[in-house]
Amino acid sequence: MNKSPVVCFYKDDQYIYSLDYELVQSKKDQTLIHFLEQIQNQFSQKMKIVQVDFETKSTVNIFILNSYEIKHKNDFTQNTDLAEILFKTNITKTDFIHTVKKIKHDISQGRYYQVNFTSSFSSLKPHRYDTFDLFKHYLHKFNSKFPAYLPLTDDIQILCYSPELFLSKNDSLLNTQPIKGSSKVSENFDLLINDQKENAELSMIVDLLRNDLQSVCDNQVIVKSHRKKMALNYMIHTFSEIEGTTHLKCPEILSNMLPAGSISGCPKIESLIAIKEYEISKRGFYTGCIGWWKQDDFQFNLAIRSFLNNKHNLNYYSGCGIVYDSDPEKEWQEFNNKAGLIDIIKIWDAFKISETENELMSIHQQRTFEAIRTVNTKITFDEVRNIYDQIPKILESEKKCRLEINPFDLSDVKIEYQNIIPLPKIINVSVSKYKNQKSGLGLQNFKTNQRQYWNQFDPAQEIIGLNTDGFLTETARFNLFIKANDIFYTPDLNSGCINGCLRESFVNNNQIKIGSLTYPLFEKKISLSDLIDAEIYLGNSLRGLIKVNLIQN
Amino acid sequence: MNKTALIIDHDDSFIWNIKAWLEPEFQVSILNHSENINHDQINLYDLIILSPGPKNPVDYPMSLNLLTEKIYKPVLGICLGFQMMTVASGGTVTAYSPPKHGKTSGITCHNKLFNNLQVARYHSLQCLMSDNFEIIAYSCDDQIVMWAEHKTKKQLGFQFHPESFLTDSADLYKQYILSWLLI
Repeated sequence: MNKSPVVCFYKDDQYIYSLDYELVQSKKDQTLIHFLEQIQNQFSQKMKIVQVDFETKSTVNIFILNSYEIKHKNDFTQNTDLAEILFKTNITKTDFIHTVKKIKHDISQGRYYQVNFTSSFSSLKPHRYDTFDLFKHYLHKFNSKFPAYLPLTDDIQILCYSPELFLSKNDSLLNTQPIKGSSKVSENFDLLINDQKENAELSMIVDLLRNDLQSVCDNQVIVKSHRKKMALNYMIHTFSEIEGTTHLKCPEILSNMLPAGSISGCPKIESLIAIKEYEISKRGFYTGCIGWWKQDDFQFNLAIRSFLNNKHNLNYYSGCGIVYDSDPEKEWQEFNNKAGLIDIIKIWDAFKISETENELMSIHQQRTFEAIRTVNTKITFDEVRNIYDQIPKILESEKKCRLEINPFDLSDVKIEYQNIIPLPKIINVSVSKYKNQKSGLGLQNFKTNQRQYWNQFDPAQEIIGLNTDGFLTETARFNLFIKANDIFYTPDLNSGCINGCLRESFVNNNQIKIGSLTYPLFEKKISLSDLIDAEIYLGNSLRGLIKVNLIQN
Repeated sequence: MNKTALIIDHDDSFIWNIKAWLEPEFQVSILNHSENINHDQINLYDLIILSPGPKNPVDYPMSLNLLTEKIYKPVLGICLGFQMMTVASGGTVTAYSPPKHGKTSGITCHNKLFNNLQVARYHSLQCLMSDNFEIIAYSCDDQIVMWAEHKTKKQLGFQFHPESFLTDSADLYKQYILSWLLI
């Protein structure tokens, strides 16, 4: 018995689930058809879960199930303990748009009619997260019709949430249901149905799949339905259905029809050449197919809306069909919408808008620039400064300005102005009981939507965090300063604390001024014992420096 | 008896649709453009079909040669195949913007049977015909040549895709080709 289960869609919300299987892989230089024929001869009666890469010459994985059960989706209960994982886009908006324009140029020259262009998002899976728990977590979020969980090795797992049926065969009836054409959930479906570009995008794939299906069918294939609505949690699609009858079996059918038309382009041969030119890395399992096969019946999805976990590197993949009428901006949005159920990292900043605070602005701009550069090195300082230039220098009343910036798309900025609520006269702070804040230098030194550590606390209480080494860091909203023997100390950035702008200005001057008095300031590792007999201060650029009371836990 | 047809495939993705469209009246074989095609082979068929496909007529010199050499077999050109006929007979093929891909237009045609029927278009190039060709149909919306026939040689070309599911009454075009072969 194996430890890690294999899961594959079967019918409706019923899934194949097995712990008792063996994984058979094709040999190097073994063709797809040859390997599938070998499996067919050896294991015809057994239920098999098949995974074929987009690059059909790659290794094919087939799980031969010795036994399995059919489980309902609701049997896969969610572990509610999982906090959201934040993803970085592996392509910048500029590069994405540049490639879309190159594809459009190719189309205008007659090179092809459509190409499916894909890229990915990456993240680090926290060590304590079990990958199968993660599969169940996203299973309920994506609510996909054709999901699968495939443990390829101890380290590598595929988590697939496909909405697209690539091929199903029941007796001699062969059916395919390509998806093309997308809109946001919030948009009216009539807009999608009346859109000529979305219509053409699916129509040409229907002609392509008629062709591919015809190549393995005995009689003329038929388009059973065209442009039907598919409403998902996170977006709306149109799909069509094409059907034919065949005497051929799985090995011939799959090897003739892969790579699938809807994720390649049209005409297929030339678009596959273009994909090699424009995509930086191999697609691997993504846009290949996954499904079950028993005797001569089978059902395969298209492996889209999927994750690949390799130890702790978790990647999510997304792509768009590009046609001549594609608006590069809209395709970028669609690329992100298809990842709508994963969270993209955002950089935060907050400051006070008042005449006296302008001196800190250059520090804010610099810090935001550095924060963005930790995930996207293709950004220039001027682009960041342009965001700040949109913000008025003075408002009618003193306000807090809050910024949320997508580091991969600087035009995706949220700017909010909020009233400043006075703080209570006495602020009590305590020290956290969790020593799990990330230490070291990196994104943790900047304010982002990554708030896993702080989300474990009651937001009404001011709590000083502890990093994994047991040193003090900061509170959820303030940097920490302590005063002992007329000297100020603040945790160094290696503690994992936020590189706050007020802190930065103090550190740059090596001193803190309070009224007419000036005190020296040093960065150091601060431990719990340093708090004994020290005065505790908190500070940020919105509130300035505030003396607080330490209360014992 | 069934007619026989040979499709010369220019790495296209609609070949099997063309084959299915012509069957059962035609018995259809397929040959890739990169394979050596000799005249003896050509002579075995009643109809030679130059397929649609990516890129430009000049990217397929062997197929172009076939048209300029003296072959006496009837030739049907579809999309890229039609553009090849245009180039081989002294016409020109230029970029057409915006491209029409997976879209339909009605056609204006002398033949009342076809007038106003919707046809599927997949092209970003357009044909400017030499005087050797007679134009049979234009697209209604943008007046692009959709169908032309050579005045002296047995060559018939469609810019649109008769085999597409978006084309109305595809069978009519097949019947037309059958009668055209008899003339």
